[in-house]
Amino acid sequence: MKSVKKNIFIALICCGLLLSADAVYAMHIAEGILPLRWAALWFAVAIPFVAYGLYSLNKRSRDDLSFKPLVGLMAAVIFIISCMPIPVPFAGTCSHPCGTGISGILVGPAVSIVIATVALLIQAIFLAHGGLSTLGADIVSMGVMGSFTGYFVFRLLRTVKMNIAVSGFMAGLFADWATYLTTSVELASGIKGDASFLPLFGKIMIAFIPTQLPLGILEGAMTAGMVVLLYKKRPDLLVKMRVIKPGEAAMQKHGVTALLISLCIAGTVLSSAIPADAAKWSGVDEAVIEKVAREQGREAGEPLIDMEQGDVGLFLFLIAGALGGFAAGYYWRSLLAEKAQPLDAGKDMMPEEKK
Amino acid sequence: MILSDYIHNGNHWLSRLDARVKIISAIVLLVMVLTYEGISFPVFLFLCGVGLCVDMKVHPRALFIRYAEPFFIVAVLLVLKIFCTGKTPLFSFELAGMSVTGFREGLLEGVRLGCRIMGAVTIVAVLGFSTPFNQFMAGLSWMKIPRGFIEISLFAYRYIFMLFEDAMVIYSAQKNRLGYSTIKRGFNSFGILAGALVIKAFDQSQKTTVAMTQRGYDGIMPNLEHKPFKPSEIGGVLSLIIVMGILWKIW
Amino acid sequence: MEDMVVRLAVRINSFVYADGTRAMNKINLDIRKGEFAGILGSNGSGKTTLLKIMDGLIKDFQGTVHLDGRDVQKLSPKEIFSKAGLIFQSPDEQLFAGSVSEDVAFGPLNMGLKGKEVARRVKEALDDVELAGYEAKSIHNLSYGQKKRVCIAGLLAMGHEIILLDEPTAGLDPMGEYRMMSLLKKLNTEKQVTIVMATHSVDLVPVFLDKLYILSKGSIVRGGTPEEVFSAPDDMADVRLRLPQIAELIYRLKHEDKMAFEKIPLTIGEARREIMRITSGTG
Repeated sequence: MKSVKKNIFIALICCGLLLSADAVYAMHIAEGILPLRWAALWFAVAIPFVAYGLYSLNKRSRDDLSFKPLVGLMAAVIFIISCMPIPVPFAGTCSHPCGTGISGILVGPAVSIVIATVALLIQAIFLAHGGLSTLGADIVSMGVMGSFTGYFVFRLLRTVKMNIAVSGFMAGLFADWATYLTTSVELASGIKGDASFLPLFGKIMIAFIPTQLPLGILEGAMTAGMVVLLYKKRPDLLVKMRVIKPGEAAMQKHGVTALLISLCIAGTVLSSAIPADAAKWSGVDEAVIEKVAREQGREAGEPLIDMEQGDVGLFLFLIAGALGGFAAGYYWRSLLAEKAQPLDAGKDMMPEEKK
Repeated sequence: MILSDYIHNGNHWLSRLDARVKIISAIVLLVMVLTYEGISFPVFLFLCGVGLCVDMKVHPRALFIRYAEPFFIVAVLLVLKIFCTGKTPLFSFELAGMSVTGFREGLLEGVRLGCRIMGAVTIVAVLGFSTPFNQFMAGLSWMKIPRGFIEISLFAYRYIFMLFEDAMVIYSAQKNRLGYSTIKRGFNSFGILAGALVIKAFDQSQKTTVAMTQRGYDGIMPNLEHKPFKPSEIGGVLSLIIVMGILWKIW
Repeated sequence: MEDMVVRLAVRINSFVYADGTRAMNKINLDIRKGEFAGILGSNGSGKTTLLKIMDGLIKDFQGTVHLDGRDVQKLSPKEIFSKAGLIFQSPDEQLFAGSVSEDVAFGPLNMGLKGKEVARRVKEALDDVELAGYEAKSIHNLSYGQKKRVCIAGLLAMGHEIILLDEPTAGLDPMGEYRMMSLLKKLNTEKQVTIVMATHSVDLVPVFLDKLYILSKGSIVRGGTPEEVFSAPDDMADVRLRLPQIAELIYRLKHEDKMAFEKIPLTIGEARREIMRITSGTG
């Protein structure tokens, strides 16, 4: 009897693991989750954007007959990309990129919304990713927020002459995170019932973090890889799609340095601008998590390692410095020595020809 | 990746129905499910839908794949609702030194939400299994969905299969050359794959445009003509809506 | 055949691509009504470019191409494509609808035809290419050879009198090649469709084609019937082509083994007759 129970338990665990591998399907909201009024609301929000996307599509295709086939093919590419499973580190599962950051960069945010709508519709009907009733909500999160965020982040960084790889990375990263943020809002508002919005929103955000945080980084890396490949192999394509201007050169190192300096300056200015009573502003830990816990009768305890007491912080700083110094010394050749010259493969490696 | 064309059973009576009739029925039933407060109506739809899928000889694996994700989402939502919503404790237990309480209201809310999800998923599943994409798009064009959207969707659907094969070829070639042997290489390879697909899409679009142009394409696809409705189909959908409406009301 | 009306009069002086590649030099050829002509050339010889110029897809060349007496450089796409059409090598480049009937109906619908007339043309075109009953089939479920035939049906449904094909037998198995050529011959003889095809399949050319042009580095180096064109084997090697295999065999038997062949046969049937003649001593 014990072995039967154990087998059932193991089978249930396996089922859970098996199913959980498919759990994180980007940010689609499944069919039926949203009540009718919320589903209708998100449709009402999405429709003007889709209409504007179609207007932009028709306008551009009047000048270029190949634009509609291109957009259709891009929709197919985005669909395939968003179906490809990529392993998510630390979460031990697979997930799927959104792809709308990429399409936002390539065809502009308005047309990208149309692409997202097509991809979402096909996924809803034939793959049960998302749904018909939740199509409006998914269009708003992935199509509108994902496309606009990806596009504007890319444009902004390119305007300050940022390296195209970094621009692509940031665009993909923020497009993904914007999508997950919007989905959290849509879910929390749709399923909260009579409960209040913020606690549920916080719980959903926290539930998303283990997968969506690394997934955003992955999507950023994928977007960067894609734009770099296009930039190197087919810059004419990027010019035709108005992503870069003809003859535009990427500022490689300078852009990164400029960004770092800008961030440091911004950080210094902002920190000096924080008013004295900012310490009284509590973060999400106190405002949401501890508050919810207190309501449930679970007061927060003292931290296990209290950094504010004694010299704990200094001690950790010492350890970090020692580790960093050891690592630098161990790899000093890679850091400081000149690179070795490559072998002359033709001279040294070629076998003698048979006579 | 399973799309309906691969499992569509053209001989079934549901498949032979006009796509417009099926779309209208699906929309009405979805609205009913989303506005229903209890569990009996969506559960009834779920059972009818699964029965129809079995009758259409949909492969059990295809059915499992279709329902796997929604089932998981229902389970997660049920857990969220039981332990996060409600006031009346139903049960509680100790877990790693913590007291975890499940609430009655949360359980009822979770079950209701879960049934709603399963009912809605089933409606769309039956529509997807019984309607090829082209017919679905033809139905949407009759409903005055903008022509541009229909054109893009048809292009996309046509080329998904071709580009998917290309993607698999590139992916296999990368794998054979250790392109996914480490995480860093994997991300790099995946970015290259995405870029290669975009290049392929762009080149294909140019060639497709040339081919279409020499067959008279001037930027607007020709209008699809719709066959007139059969009286039996109109009668059928009206009867379905009335019967379902009565059940929705009385249950 | 020489008395037949000239449908396509091609007089090209030169054509240079945007990247500076000189694709066409002197080209001088006439395609007559009802002819089944071939453009034979190695890879990179300019076959596809020549077909695109003939079809009006490339207009910025030096020279003239007249379609039924009218200069294609001055004609609108609609005027050109109502009479002539080009089928590319890869069928996936030109099949864009979901189902076979939708794709074949695309051209007639763009011509402004409606309902029953479109359906009739689609049915007739599919019958002509031996794909009757495939109307509802999805394009991506077709075999490579079937896709190629749908491409042909798409032009037939528009009533095209001139069909240009870029390597129609490329990628097909040997029986598929034979079936494709037989289909094209049938369209040429029964439907009076003028066909010009680019190919480097030298073995099939003498069996089916009326006229042949050898293209090398953008220039026509030889033209005429297959017998005339293949009469100089050394010239074939110069343009990286070869004789049909049966002709190659008989050529060697004649010149190296001194067998008494009167002419070099180009097909298996001709070779068989010649061999029978020699072995029976009746020649």
